[in-house]
Amino acid sequence: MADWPHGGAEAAALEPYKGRYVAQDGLEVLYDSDSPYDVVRWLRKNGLRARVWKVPATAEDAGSFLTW
Amino acid sequence: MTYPFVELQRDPSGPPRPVLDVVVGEASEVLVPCLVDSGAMNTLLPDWVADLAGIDRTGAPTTTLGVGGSGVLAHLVPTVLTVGEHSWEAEVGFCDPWPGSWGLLGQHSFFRYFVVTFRTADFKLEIAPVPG
Repeated sequence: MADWPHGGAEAAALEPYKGRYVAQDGLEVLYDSDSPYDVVRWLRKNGLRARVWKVPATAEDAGSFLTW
Repeated sequence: MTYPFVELQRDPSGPPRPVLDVVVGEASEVLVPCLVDSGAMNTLLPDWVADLAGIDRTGAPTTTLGVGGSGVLAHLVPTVLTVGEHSWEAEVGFCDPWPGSWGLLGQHSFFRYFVVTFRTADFKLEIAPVPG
């Protein structure tokens, strides 16, 4: 991990949130929930901007999906 | 524009992925991570993104797409997407159910508009709008 973009720090920050929807700002998780709607509601209430996504819980979540 | 790949947690892990944060419509406070996927034909996002961006799918054409080995229903809607300072309008498929953690930026609605360089050796992604 030493040669990763953040030396593994981003991976470590996400580790506790597998399967959760999070608001992520840089290497910091600001908020987490089981619902993306709840996360965005929290962001808007606090006037913040962040990456909103579901942290992968399985290899399939993190896959590259062939689509057609 | 150069962006670092996104690291994933240890399990499931693997190497960092080429993911871009995309603003969908006018919901500028929400950055939606999307895998830059040259194997995907379409640009696809989970349906909840359309809800939160206020994008109306009523009457939008639908299609069933194969994603991850199963079929998902996609509403196809022309949508303004923004990465960094650059915005473009393209057809996006809003999908329900959606099996992944991130959206997909595919050939029709992303690679058509950008020159994309994968610098996997140092986990960076370069994109530049196609001239003209």
